[in-house]
Amino acid sequence: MARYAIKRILSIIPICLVLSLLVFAMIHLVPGDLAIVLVGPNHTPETLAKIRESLGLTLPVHVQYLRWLSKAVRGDLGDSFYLHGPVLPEVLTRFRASLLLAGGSFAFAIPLGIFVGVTSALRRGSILGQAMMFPTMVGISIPPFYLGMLLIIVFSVRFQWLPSGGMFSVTEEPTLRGILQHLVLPVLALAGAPFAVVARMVRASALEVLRKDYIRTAHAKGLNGRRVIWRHASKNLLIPVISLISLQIGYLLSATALVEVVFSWPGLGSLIVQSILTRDLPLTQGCVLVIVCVYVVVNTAADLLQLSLDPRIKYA
Amino acid sequence: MKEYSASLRNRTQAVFEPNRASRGWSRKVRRNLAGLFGIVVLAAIVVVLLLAPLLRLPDPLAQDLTASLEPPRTPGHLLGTDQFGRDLLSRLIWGGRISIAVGIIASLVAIGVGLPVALISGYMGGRLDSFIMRTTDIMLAFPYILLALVIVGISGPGLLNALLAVAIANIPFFVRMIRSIVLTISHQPFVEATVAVGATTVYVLRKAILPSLTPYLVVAFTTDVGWLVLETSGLSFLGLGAQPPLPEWGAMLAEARPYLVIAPHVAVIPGLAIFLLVVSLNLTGDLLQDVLDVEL
Repeated sequence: MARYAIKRILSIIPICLVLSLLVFAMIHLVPGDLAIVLVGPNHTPETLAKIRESLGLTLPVHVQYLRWLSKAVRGDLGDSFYLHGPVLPEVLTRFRASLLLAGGSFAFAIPLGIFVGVTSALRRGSILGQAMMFPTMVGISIPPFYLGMLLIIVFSVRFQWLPSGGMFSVTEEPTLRGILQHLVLPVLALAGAPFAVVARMVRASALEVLRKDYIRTAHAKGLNGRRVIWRHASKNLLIPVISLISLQIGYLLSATALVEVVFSWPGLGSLIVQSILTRDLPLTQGCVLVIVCVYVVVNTAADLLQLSLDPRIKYA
Repeated sequence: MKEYSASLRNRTQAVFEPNRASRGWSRKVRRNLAGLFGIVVLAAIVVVLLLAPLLRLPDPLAQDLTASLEPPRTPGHLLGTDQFGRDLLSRLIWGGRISIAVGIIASLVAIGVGLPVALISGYMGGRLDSFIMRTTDIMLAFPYILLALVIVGISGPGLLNALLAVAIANIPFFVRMIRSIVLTISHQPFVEATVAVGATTVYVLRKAILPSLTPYLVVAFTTDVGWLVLETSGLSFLGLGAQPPLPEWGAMLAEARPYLVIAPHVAVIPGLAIFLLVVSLNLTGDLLQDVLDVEL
């Protein structure tokens, strides 16, 4: 077990290396001459040469990669064309904002999804059980940015209960209360899809587990229903859910882009979009690299958690 | 009723779920009601979109700045107008053709690439299989929206690039799913029998495995189209897909965003259209899953 865990944790390194290679390759996959793409059609040979020089494009590709990588591990992700400054500090500030948003949605969506999934599985066939699945169908079918806009129309425009965008009020000092108020609507908008996916998955998984013999035995022993569910069934029920949840974290980290744009949330997602629109490749690379590395770590953590819950999984 | 459940049991046993009990008919019907609703809505949407040229709609691109942001039920503009005075109904219908076409084409691309790869990977096994699986692992290490963003970031914004991006980002999911089904099917006795009588690999894949795969493909395709409509509309919303003035639904939402306060209908209507289309596809997919007895 411990051995496997160490092996699994060490496997993060090669995975991150391969991913870094892909992220590095982005800049070379851009069709056409990168320098021309960056400078635009009005260029002189001198500016082109200067750009090539400053990006190190004149060097052999593998040298470029090693240089880029050695800088990246030391925290230097290059300079953004658009921000005229280093990429990493900006990415980290934005990442904190995104993390707040994604974390809030996670904390809201996952427990609610598990609860709705289990309850509707227990009450399958009843009207309530069916009715509980209705919001999950909405959740998987509604674009998160549209959900966000509807929330703005209802809660900001119509009732004026909550602010419609930004992370804190411009006129006041940023307070915790202010940030929380700004957080509510984007968190709800982002939580829709993960909630729905988790609820549907938990429901399917619960229906499967509840048919098992050991559950019938527990009932036959005369244990009360709630105890059977939350003590006996929940462990087996949650095993497939954990890997799903780690996928949902990947979703949350990247779908924030859709919600951040609606709510003008100063997060990483809107930074990626902005960097793509302005063709600011170092910035795009930096954002992508950070998200991907976080995602790999989260996935590994989920694997290990799954392992500790389910001794049947082979330590391959 | 007895006969029905008996035949159902036979069928399920023939497929891969030998001890799946036949469900109560009332429940099945109740679930089918949602599915029927989905099919009806989907059919209605498709018919309207197909009939667009016959509907004598105003030009979706024609601007009339004297009549901008008119509310729904304005004479001459059933759903009102947008900020440039363009007729929303016309934009909705013409834009729907683009949105759904993009979803269908992207799914076909994803399936077209994913299916052969999954067949080879699942049936051949060995080194090729593990190579393909490692490749999908790496692709899946990118959250798919991020992968789509990266692909658009490389190829540049535009509807075609967005379409290819979401298609490519979905290939690994597809490969994984189909491969696991191929693995199960290829150990079925009828496949082994086909191999035993000396059929070639291509013959086995085409005549034994592919037909058993068809119901899965139908269900996967149906839900996939909805999924990809959502994703491309997301990219368009971010300004990375369809570009103005093209009336794609996601792009329409992006254009409507500044007017949420004074003219919410400009945003509500195209968003509702995306939602209805995707819901109807999902419900239809669920129904098909029930009827075809497949589990994805």
